[in-house]
Amino acid sequence: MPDTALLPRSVLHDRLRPGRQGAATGPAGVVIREKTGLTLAAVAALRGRDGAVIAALTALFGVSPPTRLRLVRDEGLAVIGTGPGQWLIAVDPMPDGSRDLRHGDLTTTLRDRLGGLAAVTDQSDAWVVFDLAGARVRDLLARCVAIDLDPRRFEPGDVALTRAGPLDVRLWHGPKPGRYTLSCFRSYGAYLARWLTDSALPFGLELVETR
Amino acid sequence: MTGDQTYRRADGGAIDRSRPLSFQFDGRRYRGYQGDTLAAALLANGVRLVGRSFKYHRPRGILSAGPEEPNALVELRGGARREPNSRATVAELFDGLEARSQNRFPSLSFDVLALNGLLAPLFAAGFYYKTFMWPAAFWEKLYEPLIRRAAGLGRASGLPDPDRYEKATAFCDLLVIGAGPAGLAAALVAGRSGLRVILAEQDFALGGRLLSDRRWIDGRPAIDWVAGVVDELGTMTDVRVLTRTSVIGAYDSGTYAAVERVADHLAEPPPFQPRQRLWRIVARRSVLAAGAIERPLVFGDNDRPGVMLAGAVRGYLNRFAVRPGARAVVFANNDEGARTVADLAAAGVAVAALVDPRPEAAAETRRIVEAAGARLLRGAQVVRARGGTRLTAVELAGVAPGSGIDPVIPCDLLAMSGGWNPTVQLTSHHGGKPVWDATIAGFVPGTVPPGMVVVGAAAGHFILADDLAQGAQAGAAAAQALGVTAAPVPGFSADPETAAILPLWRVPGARGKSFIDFQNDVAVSDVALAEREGFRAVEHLKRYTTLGMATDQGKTANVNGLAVMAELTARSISETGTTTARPPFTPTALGALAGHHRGPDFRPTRLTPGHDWAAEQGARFIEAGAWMRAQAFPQAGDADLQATIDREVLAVRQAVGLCDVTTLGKIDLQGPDVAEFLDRIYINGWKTLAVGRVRYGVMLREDGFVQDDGTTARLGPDHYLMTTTTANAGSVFRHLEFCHQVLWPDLDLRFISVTEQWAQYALAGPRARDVLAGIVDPGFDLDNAAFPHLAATETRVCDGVPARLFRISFSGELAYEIAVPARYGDALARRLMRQGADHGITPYGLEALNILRLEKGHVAGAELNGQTTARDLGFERMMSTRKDYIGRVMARRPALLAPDRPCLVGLRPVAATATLSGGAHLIARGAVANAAADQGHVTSVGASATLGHWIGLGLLANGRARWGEIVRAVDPLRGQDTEVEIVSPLFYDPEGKRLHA
Repeated sequence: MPDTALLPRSVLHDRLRPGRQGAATGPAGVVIREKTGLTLAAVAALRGRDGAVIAALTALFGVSPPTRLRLVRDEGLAVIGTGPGQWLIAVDPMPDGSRDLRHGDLTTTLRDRLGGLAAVTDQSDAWVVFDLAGARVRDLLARCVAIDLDPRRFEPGDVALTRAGPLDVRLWHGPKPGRYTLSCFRSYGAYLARWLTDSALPFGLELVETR
Repeated sequence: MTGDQTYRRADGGAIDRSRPLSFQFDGRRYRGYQGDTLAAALLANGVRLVGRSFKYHRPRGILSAGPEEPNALVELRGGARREPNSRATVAELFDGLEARSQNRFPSLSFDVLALNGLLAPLFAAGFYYKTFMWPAAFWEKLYEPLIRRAAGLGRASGLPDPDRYEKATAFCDLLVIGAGPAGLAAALVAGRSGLRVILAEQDFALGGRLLSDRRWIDGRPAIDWVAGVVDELGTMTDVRVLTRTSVIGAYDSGTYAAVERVADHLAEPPPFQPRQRLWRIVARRSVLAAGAIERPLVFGDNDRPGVMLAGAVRGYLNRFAVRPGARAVVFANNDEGARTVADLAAAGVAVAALVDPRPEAAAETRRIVEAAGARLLRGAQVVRARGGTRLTAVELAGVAPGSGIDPVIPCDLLAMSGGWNPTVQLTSHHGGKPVWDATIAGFVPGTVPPGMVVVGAAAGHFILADDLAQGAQAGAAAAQALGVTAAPVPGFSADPETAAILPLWRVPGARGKSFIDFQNDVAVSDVALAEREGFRAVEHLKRYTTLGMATDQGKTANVNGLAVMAELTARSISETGTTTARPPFTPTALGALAGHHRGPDFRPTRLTPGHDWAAEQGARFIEAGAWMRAQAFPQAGDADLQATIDREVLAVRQAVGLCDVTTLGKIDLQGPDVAEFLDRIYINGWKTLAVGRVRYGVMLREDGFVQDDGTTARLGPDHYLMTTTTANAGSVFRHLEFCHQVLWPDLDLRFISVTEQWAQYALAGPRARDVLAGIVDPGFDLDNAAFPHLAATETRVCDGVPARLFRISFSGELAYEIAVPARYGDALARRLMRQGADHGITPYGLEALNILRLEKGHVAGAELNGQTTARDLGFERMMSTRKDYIGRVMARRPALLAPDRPCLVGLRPVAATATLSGGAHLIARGAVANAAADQGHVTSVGASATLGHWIGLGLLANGRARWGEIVRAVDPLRGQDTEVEIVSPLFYDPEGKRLHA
């Protein structure tokens, strides 16, 4: 790595103590990991272009974009309905943490494909994204968000745009049952992380280290 | 005869005798058992006197066995966990518990302030409105402190609360409030029907009155029935039982608040566990099965320790295996008197008499009283309790003369019952008014919150078999209402009972003070005084006498109080009405309401990607809205903050400075109609802005006042990037949403906040280009001609990191703003510092930024204060006349165009060494400094290191025509009166040569 290169830094880097904490008996009830290296792009259809955008996204990703608050997933890529004519495309990083360039630079690719049809914005750095898992994950979430988390009501693939106390958050379930992804604007990341980790201590917390 | 549990029964009760516990009360050591409340354990040890009353310091004992307790209030625990006004009747005993009586001096049994009792006439209702009015000046300094000291309500620890609290949300189909017979039956049927049920019970055990009374259900002891139901509920995965949980409020859309006392029954919470948890419960349906609270009877000196509610006496006898006395009299106006006699006798307590004001008695009652060896005194009443710190005898009236019965009966326990008040408080939280039901002599629920059904004693039904049936029916009805097939409703049988009552609101001919509200020391005489003085409406009665205003919220007092008022005014109780119950139902710790959100987490703070870098540079941070921004970067050699600011300002003017400007709002706009949209939003025109260029814009509110300012760049043909001030980022975005969605939905564009996507730094100063040249990719031409002032571009820096580069300047120097994706924000700051080291790069904070913009006359928050127009701020020529825009019409209102309207000016002290202060008023020389002479005010000030004197901006009447005039800046708050010259706001480099360098 040349001296001139800029190294990315996660929100929680050097901020919270990683590792096992809180109640120490049994397996950790909650595992929290800041998801880094994600590529996120917001797509918003221009006036009257919803259908054309859906067709173009389907052709590009091979999955049909949901038209309500749902998430569809395909091999390291998720298309999330975030509002009328609005989607968030999320591409997981490669196993080594680097960006998955399967679709090239995602924002550029989308702008090329959706030119004149939609506004495309890179949002990869706008959100801090936490992966939440563990047997007590719903109990943890019940301390932050006021939505019905019963898996019969908030099913795998369901998405909520809601509030966590004073924060706007996005929460989605799965697609793997019992795994949740919670995100908020990046600048609030440390605040939300303190809240999550503090609330998780009674259940036993494993906070996975991120760079 | 205290200590060693002399009053504990040999066997029975729901206590665990295999787990003895040790505790202290007022420094003395006692023993009790697991399953005791503090009150039960004190009674078991013969402790009758547990507190002093609020106003008269009268000795008080234990009245009740539940959360309604007005007398037995103690300080619980020690150190930082000390909590005053804790009810001994709900405090669970744990090993090592420490409690102290409160409101006494020097000791509980000898309290000098009990002399207040002799001054009772002085302390009558409304006493502080009357007695201490004159001289008025004495109130604050003398009377109030004196009264507060005398009327102590225990002491808070004064230390930070060491415990954790949390808040959580739960959803259910059916919330059952109260786990007595009706609540258990409701939960059982709803659970069997497959509903998601939450059963909330304030006690630590389920069963309600069934724990305290010897009852039979379906041919077996009721506590066995309870155990069976609890077991079955435990097997249902969709039923959640919350014990130690009080539902404290009913809110909109089936939302309820409940406090779960997670660890109050322990010496301290286990590691990581909260002390209490505040639940928000969202329920599609609810069943209120909160039971009823027994009423005291109102007679002379009815507050003597040893005078207790009959139901509580039965609870201590049966649930806690405690005899609350050795020789008892029972005084009841209803059929539960006999039940109390029977339980006392069964526990081996001598019962002297059942005093029943009713003329007739049922055969069963006579049989029970006879079997107990007691006398049945029909038509009689207790008129006075005798004794000081404990009851010694009761005086009777209505005993037939010549019957040979002594009207003074020695006893140490009086079990009284005036009937039961249904616990209707939660039904009133939506404004529902309880309705008087003469058959039970109590208020029953009127209009209830949507989705709520009230069953059992809470609905005024006091027959056990009926309560069980009602509960079960309610559980089934909830299932049906939710479209679920209800499980069969079982039939229940219970031992026979009657619930007849003859109201007795106050004993006629009572001698001594007859208390109605024990906690606030409100007696019949106070209600009578309120009546005489015209405070007859219940809400007036409440406030004039403080009836029901103590922490117990008058749970045992209110109905007696308003019934006495009804008698005094010869109205019915129904006409008199009742006061409104509001949340919380029971005293609630503030910690539970705060949850995690206290200290630094009280509200969110926002950190920029460069925060840690700034902290490493020694930055002092300051809150800017939720953001933490660097105020300045003090260094070891700086004499003070001003020296730091001067150093930072001069670095920008002479070399190069680096400032984190990430917090400015950034809004990305795309679509064919963006330029048209901007034209309507801003006062100036946007259709001529070329790709790759930036323009400054000002936007107004509909009312013509300035909303915000900032720059907007055109990044592509249909792609723009707007910046807002940090403070208004949210409100501007909402404004744009409103304009697009409501005013002009036909415009084809989309916008989204990208504030958080980009970390952005200002690089300002004559050496800025030299530093920037080291990080832009080779081949990028930074030359003045290629990338001039107000140029913008998307590019890459530092070997391929996407970046946005703007040549804009707030400082008036050659300056750039560089944005990179936020993950690189920390690294970019460090890289720029390394790159600029040879050029003297200096990080600067908000203070220096403020001086730099003042020197250039740029407006900021103090000038964009919501009360200034574009014209006031000197933007008149920017206001386009060739298009419409928001605020255009209203900005032309005559008053806003008046020549004497304050407008922006520069201010320079006449004396070179004089300082200025923000907020000072501008007054003509020689004028008296008063409001009439006010011509405007100073908005922003600072010491300019560049110019060597203080400068300021201000808003001055007709200011633009007054350059060169000298006025005074008068600051009465800081005692300043400084002559200032009115000058152009452009203090430095007025031609803008440095900007274009």
